[in-house]
Amino acid sequence: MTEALTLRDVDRRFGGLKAVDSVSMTVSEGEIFGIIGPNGAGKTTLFNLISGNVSTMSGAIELYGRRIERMPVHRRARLGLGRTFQTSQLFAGVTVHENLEIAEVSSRRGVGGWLGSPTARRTVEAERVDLEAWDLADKGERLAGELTLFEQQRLALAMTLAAGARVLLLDEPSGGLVESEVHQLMELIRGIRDRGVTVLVIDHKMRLMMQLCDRIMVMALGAVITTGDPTEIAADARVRELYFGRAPVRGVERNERTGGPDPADAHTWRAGPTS
Amino acid sequence: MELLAQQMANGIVLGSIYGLLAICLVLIFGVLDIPQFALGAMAMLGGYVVFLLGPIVGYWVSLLAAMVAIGALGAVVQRLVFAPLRKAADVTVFVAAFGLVLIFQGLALVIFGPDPRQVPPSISGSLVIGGVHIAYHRLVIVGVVLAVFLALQWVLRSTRAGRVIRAVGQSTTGAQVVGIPTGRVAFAVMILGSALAGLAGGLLAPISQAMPLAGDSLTINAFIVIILAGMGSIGGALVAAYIVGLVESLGATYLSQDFSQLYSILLMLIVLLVKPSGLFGKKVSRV
Repeated sequence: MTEALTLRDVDRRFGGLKAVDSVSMTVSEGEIFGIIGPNGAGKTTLFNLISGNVSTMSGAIELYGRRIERMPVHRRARLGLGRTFQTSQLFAGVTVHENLEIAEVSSRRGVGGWLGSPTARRTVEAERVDLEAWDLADKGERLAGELTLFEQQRLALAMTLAAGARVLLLDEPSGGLVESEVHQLMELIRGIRDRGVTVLVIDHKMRLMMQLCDRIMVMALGAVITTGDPTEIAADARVRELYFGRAPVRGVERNERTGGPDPADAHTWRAGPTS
Repeated sequence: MELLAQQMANGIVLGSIYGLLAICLVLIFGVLDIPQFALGAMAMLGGYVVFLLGPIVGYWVSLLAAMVAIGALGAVVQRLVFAPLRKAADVTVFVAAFGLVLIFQGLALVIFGPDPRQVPPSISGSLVIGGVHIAYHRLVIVGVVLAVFLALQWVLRSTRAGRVIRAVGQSTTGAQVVGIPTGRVAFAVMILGSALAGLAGGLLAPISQAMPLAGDSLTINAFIVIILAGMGSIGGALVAAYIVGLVESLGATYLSQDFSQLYSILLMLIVLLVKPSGLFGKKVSRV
């Protein structure tokens, strides 16, 4: 299977804090790869290192076999690395169509691709981004800043595809969404994977992660605890200890010690509802 | 009545120059988040380029040369000063911009001396309408500024490059992750803004003479304009600039010449008290 993304011994320190500690991982093409861990585990920092928003101190990052750890953010994006954020980074003051067009235009090399009238939209946009598929068909002329949270989330996903993402990093995509929206989001992410896009996702909704991901990597204090399929992760004693302490207690709302993610019971992570 | 019409015409001309510089400030602040205080001083240098080259190559070619020279200066300033301060505290960038003002004024003083230098206009003579005399060069100023404004509006609203510039202004991080080289966009905008400052200086020199401190009042008035207009709209900046030009011109004529700068500052304070986001500023919700 083709390796879409590979990290080898990636390190990042902030002062005396080791935010990411010698992380190695491999994600195969077309895989949905989850990253979980308590608050402060280094998950978002790891995403920042992959996308280039934060620079690595040592180690290697490869996108489809190409070293990218020294490249600026925009070059990684042009190689097919897409990203969404916990806090939306949409262009709030322009319309949904314009957001998509900016994403599509920016994926072209050189200033030459930026010239010309936007009314002469290339068919690429229509092919890559069908607004109906994102349930945004009637929102094309609305300002992005006026959309609901879930609409913004869908637009952000559509933009990554318009920009030509082959590997997609989703940071807390379900944050602020209600139950029904989380279900829809899950279907959208699966749909993205079905287009051949590799997806890495961080989320605190554990049941979503267990149902969505092919494999899950667990982090704590910047280091990788374990990686495996959801069943293995749910059964792993180290993970259970990380989230529930030594003895799992049914009905506990949140692990106070670790700031754990979800009131879920490990036994129902895979089969139960998503939140 | 003639005096009123004459002063209104002068106010529109003055407002055009303030407007051009304010548009540069809006562009640069919008994309780079830098209050480029040195734009007025750079405009002043543009005036000296026209002073030096005008007699040799003619006014229009020298005006073009002023744009190229000051645009190039903007590139150097961005590369050597502002780009290295990208992650610096705001106050550091402020101090750097003020430092540039002193450097440019000092250079002009050393090279050209303190005396004002006369710069011939693009076209001699005046248009007389009902007893109101308007020098042709002043009409040129109004026309050129309007043309620049319309061209910029077209680029920003109707081209992909314009949308990319607006995108970087709204979210640098969002722009980077969809593949926009934000550093290069910022570099291009600084060059464009500086070149337009050179244009403003070259246009202004024939009516106000080239002198080392010519940029100070330009900068102050351009900032008054963008505060009055509210950040973010170049159309609003131009309208506010006309208002400031008219207030300054009429105030100097009917109240007192000595306090001409004060009138626009008072207007700005009143508007800020009534509408803190400025005349045309909108509250933008962040997503």
